Amino acid sequence: MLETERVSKHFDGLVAVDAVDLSIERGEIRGIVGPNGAGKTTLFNLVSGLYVVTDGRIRLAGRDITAVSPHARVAAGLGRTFQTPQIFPELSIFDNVAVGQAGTRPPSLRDALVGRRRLRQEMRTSVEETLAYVRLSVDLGALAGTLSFAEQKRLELARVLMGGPAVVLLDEPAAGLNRGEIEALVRLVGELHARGVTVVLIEHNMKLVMGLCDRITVLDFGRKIAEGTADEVRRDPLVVTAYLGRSAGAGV
Amino acid sequence: MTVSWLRRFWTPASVATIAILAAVPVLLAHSPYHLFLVNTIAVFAMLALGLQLVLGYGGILQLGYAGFFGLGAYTSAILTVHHGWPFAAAFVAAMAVAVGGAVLMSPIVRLRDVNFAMATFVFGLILELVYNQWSAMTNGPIGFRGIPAPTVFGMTVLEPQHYYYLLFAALLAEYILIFRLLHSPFGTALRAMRENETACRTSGVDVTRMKVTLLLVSSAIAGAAGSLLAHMNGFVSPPTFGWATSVAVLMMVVLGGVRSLPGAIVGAAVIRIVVEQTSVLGQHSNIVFGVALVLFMAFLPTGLAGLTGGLAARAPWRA
Repeated sequence: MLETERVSKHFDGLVAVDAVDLSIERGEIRGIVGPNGAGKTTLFNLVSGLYVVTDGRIRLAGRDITAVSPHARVAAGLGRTFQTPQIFPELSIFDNVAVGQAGTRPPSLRDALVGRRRLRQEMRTSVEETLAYVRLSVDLGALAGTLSFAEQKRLELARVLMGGPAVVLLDEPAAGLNRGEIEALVRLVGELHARGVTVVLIEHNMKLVMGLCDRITVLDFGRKIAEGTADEVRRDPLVVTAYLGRSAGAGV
Repeated sequence: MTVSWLRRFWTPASVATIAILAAVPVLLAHSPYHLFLVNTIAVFAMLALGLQLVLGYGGILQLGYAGFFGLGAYTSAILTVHHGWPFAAAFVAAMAVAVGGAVLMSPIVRLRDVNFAMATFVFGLILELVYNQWSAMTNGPIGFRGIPAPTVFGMTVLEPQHYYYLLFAALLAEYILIFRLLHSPFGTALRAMRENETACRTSGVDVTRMKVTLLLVSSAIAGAAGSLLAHMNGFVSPPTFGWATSVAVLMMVVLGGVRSLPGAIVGAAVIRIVVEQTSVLGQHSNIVFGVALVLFMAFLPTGLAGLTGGLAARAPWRA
């Protein structure tokens, strides 16, 4: 569903992502883990098109999207969230979610001039449905900036889901969440999975990653050092070294 | 309705304002000078609204706007005088040519900030140069005379009080168009773009396409205003479409208040009245404008609309 082929990103002399191969199956839940600075978020930026690759190819559902602009990748079925939720704080919650429809229905002059009543109904329905899906029950007219951190994360996800993605990239979805919120997140990822959505997530919470993901990819210094199921990765000596240093021996 | 999105244009306040504006020619029936001033204000209000859309809401520093005003004026003048086109056709052509000019300019939307602003400024200068130099078409610095009064639905609109209604209809149509645009998914995406461009792009919004759309729409508006000016005055000359006018329209937007549609109209009125009052200064009136612009940006960055913002928020029809 999502493939990278020897994808690299260099910043001047620094190699942030070094020839990473990924092959993520349709409907898979894939975890990307690794120490800070391993190049996980850079990889997401390459896949979502915010960065231009230095080398390598990226394919989404068989289509080469290496040279495709970010908005067109969304139209092709890719969605992503950010470590710090990227929302529009001065816009209403309704508007924040509504923006996400641009992926499937680009805002046009025509929509502004004709059929507004029907459009309003349709938009309202899908915004309400999506917010219910991410379990965010708030006043649609309130400013998004008034939401808590955890709510902002769900709002961001709701906007992403409005684009009807086939693949979602979640950058540290559990960071900053309490136990109850993490449980809700796990349920939500499970529901996405049940819907057939492919999920790729970067996460530091190992318990979460091990429990949720079909397969896990481990990055260190921009390179892929291991890949496999939770058990395989946990026993991999390279992974243990990367996480705990050379002298340590205990499991992750 | 808790959601600002798709707000309605027709409110008691807007109907009352429209009714008062519709009565203006009756009130000024015995003062041709004031009627002429009001008509000029209406043309510039069209321009200010157009620039408000692209600059205020789109955050796009279009500094060559008067050039597109000129494209509309000269297109309309040339087609009616030299080719015998009826006004309505020339009016549409004026908008089309202005849009064509904007299409030529559109590749520069990839430039950022100051570079973009400079490029639009230069584009405006080039157009002004064309109006001055291409004498065969524009009659150069001497100006283009003998532009006929327009005929609308079989009636020739000759009297200023009648012309007022033509301008009023055009201005109202433009206002409603922009209002609807801003209160549609397009407007939501515009506001989102201003707040967080990265989030916008990763939400599927084609930012470049939106900027180009704004440039084209605002240019069509400038073209329409140019055509209406040409047929109102019967005469056009290059300075009207030069950089000084671009700056004057920019001032209308800043003075009235960035991102306020009524503000743009009020700004147009104030600036045109000041222009009339300081016309004795000739070229030196630019000094007055320059100082005023700096003072406004320093002390009243939200413009005149910012002064009334508090009152308007408490007004009964907003409840």
